[in-house]
Amino acid sequence: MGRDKITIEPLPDDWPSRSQAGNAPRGAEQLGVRDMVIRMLDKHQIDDVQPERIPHDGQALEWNEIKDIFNLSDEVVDASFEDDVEQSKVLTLDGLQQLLNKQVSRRDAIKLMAIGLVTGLGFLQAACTPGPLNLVDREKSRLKLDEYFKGNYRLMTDEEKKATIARLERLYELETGKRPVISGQGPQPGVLYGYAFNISKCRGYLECAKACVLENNQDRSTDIRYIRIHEMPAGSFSMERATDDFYHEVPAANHLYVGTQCFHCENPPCVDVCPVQATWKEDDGIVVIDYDWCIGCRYCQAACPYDGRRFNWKSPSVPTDEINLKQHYLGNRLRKKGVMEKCTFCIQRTREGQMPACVEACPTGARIFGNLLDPDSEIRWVLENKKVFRLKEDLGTEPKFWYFMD
Amino acid sequence: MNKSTMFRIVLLVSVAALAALLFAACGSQVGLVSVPLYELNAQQEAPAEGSTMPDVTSEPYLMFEHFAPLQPMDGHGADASVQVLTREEDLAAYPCSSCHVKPVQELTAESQASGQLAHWDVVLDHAGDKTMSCTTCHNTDADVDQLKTLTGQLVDYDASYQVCAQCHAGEYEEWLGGAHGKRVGGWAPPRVIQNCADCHNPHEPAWDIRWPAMPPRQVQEGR
Repeated sequence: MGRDKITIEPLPDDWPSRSQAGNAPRGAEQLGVRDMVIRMLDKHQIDDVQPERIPHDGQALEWNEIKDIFNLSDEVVDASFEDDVEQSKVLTLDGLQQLLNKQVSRRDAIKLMAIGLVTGLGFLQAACTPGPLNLVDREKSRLKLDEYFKGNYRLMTDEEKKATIARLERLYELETGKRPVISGQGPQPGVLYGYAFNISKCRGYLECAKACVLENNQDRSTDIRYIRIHEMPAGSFSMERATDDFYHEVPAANHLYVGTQCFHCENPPCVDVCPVQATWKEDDGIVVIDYDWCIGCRYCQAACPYDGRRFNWKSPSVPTDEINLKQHYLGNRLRKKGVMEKCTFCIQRTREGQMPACVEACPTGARIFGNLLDPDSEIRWVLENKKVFRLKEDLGTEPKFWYFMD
Repeated sequence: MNKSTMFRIVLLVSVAALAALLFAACGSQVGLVSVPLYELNAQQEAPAEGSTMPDVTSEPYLMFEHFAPLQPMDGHGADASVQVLTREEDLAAYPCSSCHVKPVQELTAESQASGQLAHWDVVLDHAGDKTMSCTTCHNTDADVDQLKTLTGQLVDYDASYQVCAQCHAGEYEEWLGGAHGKRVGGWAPPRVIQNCADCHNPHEPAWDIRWPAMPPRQVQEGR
């Protein structure tokens, strides 16, 4: 066989293309490296390579093994290396041109290309797959890759929402050993949630904060809490004189207890400042965060006049037996590290008619929750019959969280 | 009828029609403009809202609860829009008539003789003994399975809120409205609320002074 220059041949018609295979994600082993190599060798009538010995996944191979598989003589390889050195001395061509101008036999050239294909895709796959290549890690890395390239939740079609929820459920199952049920339940028509807090009733027991941590899978190690209870001396209503780190028998004499959390403003400043629109107000009034779209810039935390938002410095570490498996995409699912989170009025519960966990846990009945659009609801009775006020009303944020006293 | 009169009539009718159209257009536009929260009340008074009520119910969360329609103080029949948790199944020694077949004095003498005290765990600390004793609410000799009001009328244990409401009229009103007490199930209809005695011990109604459920935050985040 004569010594030809390597020419680049047009791709055959049956070359597996992305459009033919659909947009389904494919691992390197699914790209058919072995098929490609076999087809390549067939086309060029190279028959001294046993096809079944060609590796088809990213296993690491020694140079001697590769030479053995492809039946490549040492002289060819060594000679070509020596040529390299000599040519680089005399010629001023750059590396790529030297490589392209190198004279090798046609058979050896094809074999070298096949080796490049096998080892290159092996490297690619190894680079994309962390750790040892067991099945679980491989599935996890594929799911994470697909999750990485998904869009903003509000722009997803229903199919895309279902797909990402299925991926997340599977990912959490692989990571924690328990499969959560993640809801994508949207807002109900005719519902606008409102909250009222009875300052006379709250006694600082913190049952609400405890229930909130358990319900919303909050990180135990950095002790994130969405609810704060402020203990303040009675006789004035001053947040400046309040403290939220009391630990003594409660209620202390002559003290008020005032709870704060996200107030789900009708005119939320946190939403206005988000540079990537990762937070918004839903039709039922709940201000939510797309944890996978949030970039963690914390502008919203700075914009919130009520200290309603929390930044998570760690992905939530929750004891496996304490994970709440009833989750919502925009609610209590296990968040990523470095994103904002906050009270969602327990969106995973309230969208299905249940009370938020804090309301259910409060032993004194200080917390009242309901539908502002239902004239018969308890929250409407409170707004119409009690002297209610809101914090920092002059800002025009219109919180849907009212305070009142007996 | 001459031509100019015809013309005037046509003009008048068309002007009226235009005005009506304009009025209707403006009127319908009011619904489209986003209404500030403080105007929600006015907006909701419109009768059309009944048709868009949400399709949510609390019923799944009430499966294991026992409740009955509210019996108002005025005695005008039950109010089905408010359901109250019943009490009788919560009471360990109910019905009372399983023991109280004799006058209380005889039973007390018997239990003191045998050394077995009934109701040893009940301490009456409610408004002071000048105001209240066992018999303020309980019947002791007849109709022992029911409570009684100050005028001697009988009240079911399930409707014990009627007894409480005699003195605590303000709390009763707020409990009926929704500013006092706790709702059971969810926020969605039907509305089921806890009975007074589900939260308050009627014999010692004072609340506990106790430690909070959680210690203060140990890690202070940058905030």
